[in-house]
Amino acid sequence: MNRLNSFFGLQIGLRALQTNQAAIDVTGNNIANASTTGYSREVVDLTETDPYTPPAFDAPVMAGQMGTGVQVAQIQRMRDTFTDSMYREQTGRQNFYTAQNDVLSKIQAVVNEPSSTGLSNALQSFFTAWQQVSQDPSASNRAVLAQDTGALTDMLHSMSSDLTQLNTYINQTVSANVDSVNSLTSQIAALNGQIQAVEANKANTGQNANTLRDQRDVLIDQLSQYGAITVNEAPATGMDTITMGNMTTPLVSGTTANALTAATDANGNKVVDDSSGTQVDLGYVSGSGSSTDDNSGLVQGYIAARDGATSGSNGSDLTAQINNLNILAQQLATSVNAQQTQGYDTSGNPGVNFFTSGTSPTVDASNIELNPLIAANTDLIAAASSTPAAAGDGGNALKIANLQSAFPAGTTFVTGFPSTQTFSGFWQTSVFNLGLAGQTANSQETSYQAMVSQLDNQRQQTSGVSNDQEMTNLLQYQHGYEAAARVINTEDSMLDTIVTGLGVITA
Amino acid sequence: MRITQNMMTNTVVQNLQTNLNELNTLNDQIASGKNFSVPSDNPLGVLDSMQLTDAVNANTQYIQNANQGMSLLNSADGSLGNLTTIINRVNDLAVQGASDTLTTQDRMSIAQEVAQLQGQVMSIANTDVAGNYIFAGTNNNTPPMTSTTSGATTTYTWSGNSNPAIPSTQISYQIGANTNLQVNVDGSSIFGTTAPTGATSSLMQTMTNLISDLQSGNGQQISSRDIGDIQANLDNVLQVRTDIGARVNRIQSMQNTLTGQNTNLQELLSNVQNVDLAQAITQMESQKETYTASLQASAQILQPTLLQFLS
Repeated sequence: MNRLNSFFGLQIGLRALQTNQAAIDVTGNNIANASTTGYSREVVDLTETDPYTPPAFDAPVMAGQMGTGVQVAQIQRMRDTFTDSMYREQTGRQNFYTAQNDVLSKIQAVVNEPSSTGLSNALQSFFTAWQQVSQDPSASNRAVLAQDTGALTDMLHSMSSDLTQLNTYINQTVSANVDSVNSLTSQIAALNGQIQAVEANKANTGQNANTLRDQRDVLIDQLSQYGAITVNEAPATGMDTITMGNMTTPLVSGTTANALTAATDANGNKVVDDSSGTQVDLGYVSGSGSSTDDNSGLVQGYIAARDGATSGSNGSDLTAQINNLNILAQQLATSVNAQQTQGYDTSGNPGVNFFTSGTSPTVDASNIELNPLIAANTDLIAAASSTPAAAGDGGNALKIANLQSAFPAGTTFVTGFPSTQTFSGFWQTSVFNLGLAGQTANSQETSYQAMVSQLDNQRQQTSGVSNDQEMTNLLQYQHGYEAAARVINTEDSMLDTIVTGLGVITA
Repeated sequence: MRITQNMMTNTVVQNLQTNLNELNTLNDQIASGKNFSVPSDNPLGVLDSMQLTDAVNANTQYIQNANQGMSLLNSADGSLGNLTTIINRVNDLAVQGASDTLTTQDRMSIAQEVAQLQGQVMSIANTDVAGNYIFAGTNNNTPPMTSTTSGATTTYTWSGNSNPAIPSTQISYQIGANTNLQVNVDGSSIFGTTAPTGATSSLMQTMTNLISDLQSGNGQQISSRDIGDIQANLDNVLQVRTDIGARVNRIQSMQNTLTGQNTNLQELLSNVQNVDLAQAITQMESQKETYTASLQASAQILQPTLLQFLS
């Protein structure tokens, strides 16, 4: 009968030492990375080594099989990929509303309502000044009217220019975001290549690209801020294919990253084109079952806040605000001019237009101004209702003052100005819609934020490092190491007995 | 469920943030005294407050207009009151002058008094409020009545343009959202050259006639024509005053409505936009309590790990 080699047991001890050593190293790495962003807890998979004797024709005949010890099969990272994908979807949605909120709160700052210095107040002062002119069309009341008109148009100009600047800010942000996406995707594509190289012969080498995968997951998490992403990992290569929004070509495919470009649309605004030059909607959530579900990601958030072209904009986007301001300015100019030209100035001549638009052919909020002729000579304000103008005749001014509460029959309404509204009513509705959109964006952002942190916690349940657990493992492996050392010690003294004790004749 | 230290830290940070946020909101509200500062805080509240503020501001202006209109009408009425006294005196003098028992001397002195009264009528016709002549219609920057004296006779000329049929001679104030009210008095019908109903001549002309009749001793003409004309002119003034009274009533009722409305609107506005301090402070106290408690709990939770118990 065959026997096992005398050194068999020593080998088992050695393997146990090495294995426990490796396990302690992994535990140490876990503890070291407990606070590292994106780190996934690693666990050593211990397996038994191949038993002795292996099945063979010439296998020795003996009781068996005999275990030969322990080995590290692989070092596995603990990751909940399903929660990952949910986390990324909700992150996208949260960031859509973050972008909306950003834009809407900036618009609200420009709008400056409710306040005692807002447009509402300027309108009130403007019409009060007209009332005063109607009561007494004196030079001093005319001067006050010219002043108040200046204050009103200045306010319209500054709001209009602030909103236009905000539009520029959004375009810059969209471009910057597209750059960020491109930088992320090229890094992810590079990591795809590295991961494939490490894991190519995984079955034989037991190599897992844990660190590289952690890095890639962090980048994908970051990428999910910008749009609705779908990630598919090819089982054979470990490479991720990533698509975003309604793109037909993947953003990342293998080691190739298809760069997006920030293109300029017909209105001079930034939109996103894929690598083949087709305009894409990065916020479209595929598989959500709704063709209008494109409320995801910073990029679409900013574009929607600017254009209002999507379901999430609530009709109170930046473009709508600029339009409303322009409509208000146009209606003001149209109505006041129509009435002013029916009256007569102090010399008894028919009134000239009260509002003009500088060199531009159409009036809007950016160019509406008091007719420079009137600014230079307030006698041209057509307060009188008949010619020759009597000094106390403010009949026409009264009709203009009356515009504050109602429009006369036959008024020409600018497209977009409801005939049942007043000037201040129109403005109030616009502010109300803005507030409503702001409130929605705010509450949506908060609720998605809560969801995201909930999901992050859920991921941490699997991936997070628990110091208690690691310390316990450390103790366990330490004791394992000590026990293995004891085995070697015992084997050693056994060998010692044979080598130095047997056959020695002591005198 | 597997819990890690990081998860607990995150949760603690989040909860503290939430509590602090609520505390901040309440602090803001108490410090500003307002329920909201931007439209998104409370869109409906902001809409309400903007509408109410607008209504209050407009009403305040309407009330101011009404007050001014009222004072214009009141001074017109006061002046016409004086005019009534003068006309009554002229009437007395005319009746006295019609008597056959008077000497020429007496008639001449009566004529003189009438001429003086005529001068007073002119100064009433030229009544002004802050430089605006209230009976002049819209030609209100110059005195509507002027006089030229040649020898013993004085001629009066009326240049006021007020005419109820011509809107451009009327001055109207806006005293409500859709209400304009005429606040000047039709001076031409009193001081102008048109004879009122039932009279053969205008007020000034009647007085001139009386003077010349007195001077020529034509007592017959005085009793048959001048006294009747004086009466008809007096009736005309009284009619204008009745009209003023009606308008004053209308302004008064409008003022009452506006003032009442404003009180209500301001109360509504304050309900919408002002913080209920008692409630807010109570809430803040309880929120402070919560925040302190969560801080204490966090300090307890975050400390221990197994490490502290391993030697």
